[in-house]
Amino acid sequence: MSAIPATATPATQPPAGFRHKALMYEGERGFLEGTLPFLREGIALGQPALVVVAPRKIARLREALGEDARHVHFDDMRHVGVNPARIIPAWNDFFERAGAGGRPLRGIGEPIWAERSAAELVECHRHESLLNLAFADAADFRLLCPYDTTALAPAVVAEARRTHPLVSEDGSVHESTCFHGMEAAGLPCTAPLPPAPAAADELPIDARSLAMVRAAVTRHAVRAELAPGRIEDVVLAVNELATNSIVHGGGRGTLHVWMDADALVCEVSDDGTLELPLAGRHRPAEGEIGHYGLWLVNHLCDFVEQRTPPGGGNVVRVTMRGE
Amino acid sequence: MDPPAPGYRRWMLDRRDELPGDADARASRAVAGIGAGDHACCAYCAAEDQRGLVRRFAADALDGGMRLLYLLHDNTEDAVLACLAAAGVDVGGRRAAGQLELGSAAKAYCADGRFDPERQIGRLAERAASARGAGWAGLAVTTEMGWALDTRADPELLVAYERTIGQTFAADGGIAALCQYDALAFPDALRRRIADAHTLAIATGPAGTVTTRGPAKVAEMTGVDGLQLAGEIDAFSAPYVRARIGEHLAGGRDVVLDLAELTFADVGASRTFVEMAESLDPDLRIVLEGSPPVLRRVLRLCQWGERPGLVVRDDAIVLDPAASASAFDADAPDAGAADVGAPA
Repeated sequence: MSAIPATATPATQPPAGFRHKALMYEGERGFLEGTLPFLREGIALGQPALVVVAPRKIARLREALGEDARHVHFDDMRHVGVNPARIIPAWNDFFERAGAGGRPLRGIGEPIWAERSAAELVECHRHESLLNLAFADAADFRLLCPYDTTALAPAVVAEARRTHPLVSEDGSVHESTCFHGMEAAGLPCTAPLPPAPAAADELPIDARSLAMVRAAVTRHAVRAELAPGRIEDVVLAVNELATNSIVHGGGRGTLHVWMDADALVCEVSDDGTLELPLAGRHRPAEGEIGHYGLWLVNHLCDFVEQRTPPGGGNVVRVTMRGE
Repeated sequence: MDPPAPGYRRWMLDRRDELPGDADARASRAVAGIGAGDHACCAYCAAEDQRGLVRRFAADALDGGMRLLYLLHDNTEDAVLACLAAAGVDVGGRRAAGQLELGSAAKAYCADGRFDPERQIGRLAERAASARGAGWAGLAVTTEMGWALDTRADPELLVAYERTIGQTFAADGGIAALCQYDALAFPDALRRRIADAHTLAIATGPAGTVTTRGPAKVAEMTGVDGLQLAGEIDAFSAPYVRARIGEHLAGGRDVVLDLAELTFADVGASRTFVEMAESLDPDLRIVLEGSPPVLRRVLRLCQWGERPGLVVRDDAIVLDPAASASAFDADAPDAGAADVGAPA
């Protein structure tokens, strides 16, 4: 393993703030060429790093880093990012563990791979966009988001240029010319979801009907043959969404439940307005003890889609996949 | 042949003289937190627990600036006034101020000898409006329901009335109601249907008090220092549960919550335990025993684990197996079909 070039690593660097950079690479070789220097530089500077990518890439990075791999934390994006709304919480945990006192941190996160569905891609792009808000105040956090231009659709790569202020490609880094800006990152997501099927079970939600809401979700979850623990999880999640409708959504809402292939889908809609774009992605502070509903929903369900329809209101759709 | 299983009524009849000395205090704790918008009923078994229920309901309503309407039947006006006065209510002053009114339940409900639910609901709505018009915060009404037995009111009509008036009160939001039923005079099956028609139902007796609030139950059993929570706690029942825990904390002792029969608890329930534990005196604790997996999962995901005021135990420690019988079994033995039908 060659030594790190001395010129590339001054002993100290000025605080970088949050540097959110898309890395456009081609194939596995391109991935390693783009990520290894970034990791080695951080190791030389004694900066903690967390890498959240696919298991095969973790193996290749470990191999290439050799002994130095012990300075880097690795996590499986297929697990962490199954619901993209859980990725920011993972970075927050990393901050809490390693970033005390504004210590510079590095991260590599690859939430998008070729097999991601269209619905998942929407949530992944939203996640990338919200990262700009989530860590806007970070003292020194360099986050590299690899995009495989040989495997991903051109539209996906184009969207990455809009969600990242910095782009690294062909060996150089430049500011993205089409970054959509910080304001756009906080805008509500209005893209409509595919409508619930006509055969979906529909139930009104109000303070007196919570028990019926739970019973309906339990019935469908049993029919979907979810494991008992996962039935408990989805019942708890939908109960929180319904409670939000009662408390924040004008006192009432509507539940739709249906099966999509082997997955159970539950959607809660109401007249409320989700005002905090990062709701459910930041662990509420001690004083905000009332904001735990969406946080839990994101952690309990396999996939969560939140929308603000153009006419107003709030829609949250959660999916639990069969095993 | 086995002897017939004793019904709850007979079981209580045999023990009505065994009510512990603190029965009225325990009954009054069960009324904690009942206020405007609530339509509650209580099934009492003796004068002691009836007094406890009524005093607390009346004192809270009067202190809360509501006009109190007491419709009596089994007790005399003097007995009711004496009961309230013993609880520290200035009955003379409140009556003079127009805040306390007493009347005959039979006259109110069956003015022309006939029980007309719609007419009575209309009158109560008018009364609530006039109470507010007179500057009171709302109308609190408590009724000794024995009138229904003595006037031979149609039980179906009574159940329908309780159902409808609950919806009326919930929509109005300015009325608090406590319907008093003598558990030993009303048949068990009818009493259960009546309880179902209320948003909150309290049953008191020698074994303790059990309150049903939607799918949640809160029990305080005789000789047990703490509360048993069972069924499902959600946003509908959490405020009542919070009020009941508060009652115990006000007594200056640790509160042990037996959660072994809890099947569901939402995030708000965990939040209630955590928030109450946070604001405790340093020498007091809330102890959760036998907490169900769903509760432990919420506490873990929210990182709300143990803290100085909160102790979480996974399994209830039972020292006396005889005492471990569930409070909720008390409802199980039932006189059954023999009790169904019109009140005697």
